[in-house]
Amino acid sequence: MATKLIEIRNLKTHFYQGKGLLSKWFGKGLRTVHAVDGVSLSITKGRTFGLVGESGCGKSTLGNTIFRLVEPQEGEVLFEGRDVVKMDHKELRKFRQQAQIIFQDQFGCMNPRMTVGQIIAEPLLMRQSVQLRQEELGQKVVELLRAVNLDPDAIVKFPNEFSGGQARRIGVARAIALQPKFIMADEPTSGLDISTAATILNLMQDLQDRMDITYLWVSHNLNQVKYMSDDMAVMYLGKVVEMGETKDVFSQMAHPYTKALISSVPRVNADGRTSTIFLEGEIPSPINPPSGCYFRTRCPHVFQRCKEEEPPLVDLGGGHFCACHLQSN
Amino acid sequence: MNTDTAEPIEAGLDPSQLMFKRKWADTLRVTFRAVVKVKGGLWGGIFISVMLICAIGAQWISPSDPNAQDIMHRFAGPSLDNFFGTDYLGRDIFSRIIYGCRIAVLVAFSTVSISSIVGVFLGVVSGYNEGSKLDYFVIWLFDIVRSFPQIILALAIVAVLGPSLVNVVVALAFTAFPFYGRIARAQTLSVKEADYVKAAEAMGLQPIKIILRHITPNIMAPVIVCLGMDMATMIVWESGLSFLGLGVRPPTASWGIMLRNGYKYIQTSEWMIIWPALAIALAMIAFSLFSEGLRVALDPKERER
Amino acid sequence: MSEPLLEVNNLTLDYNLGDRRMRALDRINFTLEKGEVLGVAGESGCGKSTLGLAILRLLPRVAEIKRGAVFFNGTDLLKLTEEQMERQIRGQKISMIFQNPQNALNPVFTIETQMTDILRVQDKYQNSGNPKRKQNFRQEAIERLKMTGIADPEARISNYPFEFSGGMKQRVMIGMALSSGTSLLLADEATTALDVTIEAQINKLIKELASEYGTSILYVTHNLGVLAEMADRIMIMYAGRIFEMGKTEVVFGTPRHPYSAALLESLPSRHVRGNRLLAIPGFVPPLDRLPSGCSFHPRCAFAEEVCRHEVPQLVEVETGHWSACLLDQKRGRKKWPRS
Repeated sequence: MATKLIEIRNLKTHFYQGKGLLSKWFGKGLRTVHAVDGVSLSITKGRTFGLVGESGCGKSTLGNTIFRLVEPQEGEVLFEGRDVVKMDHKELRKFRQQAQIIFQDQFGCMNPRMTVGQIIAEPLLMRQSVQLRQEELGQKVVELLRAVNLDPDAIVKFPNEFSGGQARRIGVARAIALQPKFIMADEPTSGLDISTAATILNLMQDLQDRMDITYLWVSHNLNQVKYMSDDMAVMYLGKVVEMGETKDVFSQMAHPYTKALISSVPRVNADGRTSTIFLEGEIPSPINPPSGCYFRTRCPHVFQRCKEEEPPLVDLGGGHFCACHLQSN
Repeated sequence: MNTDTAEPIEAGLDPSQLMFKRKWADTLRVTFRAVVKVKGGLWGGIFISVMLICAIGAQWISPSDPNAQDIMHRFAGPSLDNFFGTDYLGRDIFSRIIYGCRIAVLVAFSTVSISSIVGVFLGVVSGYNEGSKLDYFVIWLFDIVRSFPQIILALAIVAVLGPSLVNVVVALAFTAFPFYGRIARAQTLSVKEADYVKAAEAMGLQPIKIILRHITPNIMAPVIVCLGMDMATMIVWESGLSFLGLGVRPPTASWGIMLRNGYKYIQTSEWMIIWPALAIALAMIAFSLFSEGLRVALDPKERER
Repeated sequence: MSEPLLEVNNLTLDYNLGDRRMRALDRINFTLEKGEVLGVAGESGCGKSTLGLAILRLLPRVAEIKRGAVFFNGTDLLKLTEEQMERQIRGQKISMIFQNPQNALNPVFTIETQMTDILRVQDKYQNSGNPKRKQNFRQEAIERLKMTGIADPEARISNYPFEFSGGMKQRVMIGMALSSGTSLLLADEATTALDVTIEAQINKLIKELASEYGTSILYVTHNLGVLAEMADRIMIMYAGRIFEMGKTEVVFGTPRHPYSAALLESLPSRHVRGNRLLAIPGFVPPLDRLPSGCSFHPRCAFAEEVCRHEVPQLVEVETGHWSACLLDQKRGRKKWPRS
């Protein structure tokens, strides 16, 4: 019986641009970025959930909101049944030791003035219940470095002395330090060579098998998401347009955007894939999105209803959801 | 590229036994080497060391008592007895320059310490709480103090409190702290958006620890450059205040007072004013060069791998 | 048998950095025909970007070309003067587009100003004896924007770069780079910074315009998928050397060099969930400390004694398919072993 580790219900995170007096007087509606605009999804324990979308789709903001690095306007984020949005300081601290982030910028996420040992030890020192002695701490850090295949003498080096792949692995070591239940990996292989990326992907899979970690895999690389994730959601301008088991989404491609997205991905083996669908126009801005269905300005199958009514997320069966009026017909 | 270390770990030593920090001695050695590598950093460092030696060991270095008057030999030009000549009271200028070092160093270090600590603290706290009432209050405070021309403000404070070394330090520190505050705040605004700060927040680290551990060390680079330049500036300010009679009180030997005594005799006994002026100029240059070297050396990204 | 458009012979290039000397390109030999798209693939440090810059001679002073020639329509570009390069070649016969279009445009000038500036200079060079005084550069700029698919070009030409999206900025750059006079386009990671759907649009645009003008393309990228779609032939580089070269389907379908085979096996698109990817052990060697013999031997699963001593040459293993592996003839097509 698969348990839902994370359940997101109708989450909305908006940003108001403009801090000056004018925007305060003329109302906030003028320049509101609808970064996350009513997202509902659930992540099953022990599986990898892929989150894909292009610039402005809101996947980064969604990630930040789950960890409460940014406050949402509406909605719930349930972690093991408790709402993160409503947690007090103590509960939030506990949550933050069970949920970790691997950041996109593998160097930027490390304090350049701290040694690698200090960086990895930092989360360990925060666990209130256990007081670690210096040697035990040292041993734990070495263990973590070995778990990500890094030489233990990295302990006294600074982050800038490492290559991209190694820095990424330091970030992973830090993330697994407290044996978290949930890790969000934000573009984990960005900026890495093909072979380095393969090493990281293998490592993350090994860790998942050994430590039973649930991953939220945020990436714009669809090949990678198809390979790494069990379930996935496709986002566009702050909304989920299609969601379900990865194999279903890739084989059915119920939403026109999903179809265009997947067909646009360049792959070495073009085996049995439909020809590329080229979308017209640019990705609209998340400020003042189009009325009705957000995708209608670029959709090849747009019709009247799309302009007036926002399509709801419809269950196509087997946990596969799609938000498109074509499905309701 | 990847596996070469700067300092080799002794063979057989279990890495988990090591402190996670590099040994202090190593850090100092690397820093020193790096500062010296920067052009001018070496000369700046040498001159400042000379000044420090003069300041601390003035009693032993100086050939005569700076306040010993010798009316018979006043206005004497440079000679073997008086390397820099004597002033209008027959006092040995060379000795007075050396004792003047003490005042200069004292003023430089103490004003800069006070103003930078206060300024940086206010700047970081207000920057981290951007947009809050505290932030607005601190900015307002900075703006008020900065809106006075520095020299006028310093003069006013000393005039009210009375001329003395302590009051000079207080006045100068007060005019300078918003400078540091603004720099610290601006740096904090950008540093707090960095991913490693987000990582610390996501780990559940308390704000005060985030400020101390993650933000403050990473904003110090421009502050340190400022420190060096500021020390130079403070020496000049002190000289200015003393020149106007609102600084240190005579007969204390400060370079500014020596300028005040000497400018009347510039046409006849120019040595009375040349040596203190030269000392001030060289001190300025030395601090500037050294502070630039220090900034480069302290930036871990610019370290030689 | 017509002459190839571009013929690079034995090109060898070093970066002199004080006490270190990095061999960025080592005996590079290849040709490019008219109207052909040649993909250059490889990981970081392989020299693919250096190659493009070397052709246009845009490298910094520390880069020293030790030997070799770059024949473009029969003329050795390396022997031309800087002035000749500027007036005849750069931006006209050979153009280049880069990875980050946001950095390529000056934020304080309008698109119109920047485009007309370039057009004016090019016109001066092309018609040096006979400048067109009444030339309407603005009109030509608008035409170029139209060709690259920007909607409403008459209005948008007065915009500033920040009002354009990444994809649109890249279209502007393509519009400037590609014209009827361009024989060769160098594209260096041209779509790497763009979103996937925009990337598809831009690559389609590049291919269409190039075939319309008869322009050849040297497409440099680390993204093998893009090359599978864009390139007729492909060249795989490693640490400054060419390891394999041939028709795209052939190289990707039946790679002959262990490195190429391993790269393909590292791609997630070739595997299903649960299978481990092939991860080549070790790391790319720094260019100033290349291994002896074959630069890949420390990481190669098939390396033998001879690989440590002899530098492999590019050998034509079948028609039009070249590979630089000493063991190719003996090895046949063994699969890379899993760790």
